[in-house]
Amino acid sequence: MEPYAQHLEKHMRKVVIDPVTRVEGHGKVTIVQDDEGHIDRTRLLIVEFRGFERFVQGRPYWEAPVVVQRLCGICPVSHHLAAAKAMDVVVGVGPDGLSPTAEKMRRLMHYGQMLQSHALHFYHLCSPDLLFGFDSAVMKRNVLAVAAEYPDLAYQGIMLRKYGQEIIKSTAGKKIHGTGAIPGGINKNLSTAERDSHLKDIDRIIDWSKASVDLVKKVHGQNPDYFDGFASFESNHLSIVRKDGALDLYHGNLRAVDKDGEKIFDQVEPADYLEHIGEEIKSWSYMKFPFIRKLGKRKGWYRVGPLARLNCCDFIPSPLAQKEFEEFRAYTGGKPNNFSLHYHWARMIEMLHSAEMIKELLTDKDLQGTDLVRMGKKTHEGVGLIEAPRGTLFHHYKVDDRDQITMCNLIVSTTNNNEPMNSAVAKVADQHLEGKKITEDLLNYVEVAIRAYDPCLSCATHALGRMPLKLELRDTRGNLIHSLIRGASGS
Amino acid sequence: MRVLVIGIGNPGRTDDGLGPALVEAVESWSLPGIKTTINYQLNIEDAADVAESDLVIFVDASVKAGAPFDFYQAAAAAKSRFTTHAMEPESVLALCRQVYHKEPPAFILGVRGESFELAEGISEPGKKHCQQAERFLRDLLNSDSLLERCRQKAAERRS
Repeated sequence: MEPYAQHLEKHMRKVVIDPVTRVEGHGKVTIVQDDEGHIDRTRLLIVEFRGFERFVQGRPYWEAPVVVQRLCGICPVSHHLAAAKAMDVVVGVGPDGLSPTAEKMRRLMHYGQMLQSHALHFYHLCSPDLLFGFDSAVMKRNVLAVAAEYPDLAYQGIMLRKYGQEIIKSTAGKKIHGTGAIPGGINKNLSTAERDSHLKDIDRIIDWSKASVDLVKKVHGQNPDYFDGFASFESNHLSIVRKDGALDLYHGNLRAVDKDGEKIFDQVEPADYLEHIGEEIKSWSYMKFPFIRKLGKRKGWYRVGPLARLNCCDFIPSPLAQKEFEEFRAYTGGKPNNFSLHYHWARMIEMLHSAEMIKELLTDKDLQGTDLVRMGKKTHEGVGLIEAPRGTLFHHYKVDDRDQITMCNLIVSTTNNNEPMNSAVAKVADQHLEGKKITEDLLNYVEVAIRAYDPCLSCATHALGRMPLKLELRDTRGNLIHSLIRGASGS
Repeated sequence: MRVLVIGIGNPGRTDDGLGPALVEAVESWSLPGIKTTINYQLNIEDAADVAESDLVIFVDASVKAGAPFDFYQAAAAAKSRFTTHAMEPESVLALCRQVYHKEPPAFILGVRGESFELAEGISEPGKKHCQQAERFLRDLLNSDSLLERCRQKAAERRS
């Protein structure tokens, strides 16, 4: 539970994994080796565009739900909804004052986002690791290799993702820069034609989601000790939960539990998050390090995301996912599950839950309602929390009398998982790095460990021709000892 | 012929918005048989749309294209990158071939981008590239034999 030291010591060698770009956002892993060749500590650096918080300042508050989507091309819907929820407070509606149509349309949008995001991660990024092994050849480490050997799985991945995208299009208005959620409500309902179109395929989507859970369990069952031990460590966990303790990905209050499942705090209102969550800045990282104030900076870091959510909640309010949740919790005797690779298991249970919730919502006539927007007495500050695919997302704004945003504070999911990803890399490096030679296996293992947390490195822009991956071993005097470069072509 | 023009990029990141800007222009021309789509990034589901097309043109900002733009035929190929959620056009084509057993001819219009900062609007150099790319795209899409014209233009620019 100790965070890593803030400066490199003399006589250490450094291993650096460095995608050389700032356009797509980049991650860089530094592994510090002592003179005997053993791992001393690790640091994961992910460039985060902090300038965005200032970019929003001076804009009218009603623009925030649209503008924030430019922050991330991977989960724009999460930012869209978190900003809208914060602005609900600003327009005096508050978290519980939306019309049923508005709240359910937003929920539908959010479950569509969850479905497509979790499907993307599992089929595009994670399935090569699980199906071919962590040390498989680099050219097999992509969805194309999966498509070659498991075409049905690849097809399911594509169609799950496409279905989620279509739900988003129906609720947000369009795929890019959607305008569905606005302060105080939503700007459209769901037409019966849209509803029927989605209902036509939902049972198949649920079946495929269930099959995805089964696939994770099958892979785990082939080598459970290895799966459980890979990059695992104990930690605190944080998420929002419903007032009755249920998993709720759209709205709730904050709950944090420790490694044994004891509650650190519970039912903390979004507006009070700063009383319980602090943010440490370290000189060597662009990312903030959030922590639970009650436990302090050294012991207060926590995990977020699917694993944390299933460790925090008491039950899942949909039948198929609840059944899987019971099996998931039973595996660790009802205690929190601290195995990093079980993020994949938890993620697929959440995908199943999202599919079930989409079906439930599609059959709800409130989605065809016409009470779309409500307004109340305006306030000058709003906080919106949501469980984004990668974890708890915080949006906090202050607005002046001219309706302009004067302050914006964001804690994004990947930032919340900053210290846990460092810990995961440290565990892997400790097991697999010895001597002075960088191996492709080491690169693979580090990637697998980080990938379990599904960090968002893309930061909303891509541009052709970027994002190689470079790994270097250097001594403290800067001399290159060994290097390994993975190009954009995978070579 | 079913033609799909895909614009890729984030308009909130200056020249990364070149792809969406150009495809919005294509939309405004209302050309028969031309289907358009715009998204931040390419992804696995784009393979399904590609499979339903006879010709695909990807329009994207590029940091390696010569100014004002490059135009070339894309070949299906596996490209893997570190824990990125996006895909390259070549990978989408390869996935389409693997899953749908189809590989429609595809071309990439890579427009030189100069700035990718967090701001709205395309940079001044980017606008010049965009204008030239727009003229090129309009002429291309209005030609009678589109596939042949694409191949010809790609060959011309390569030489």
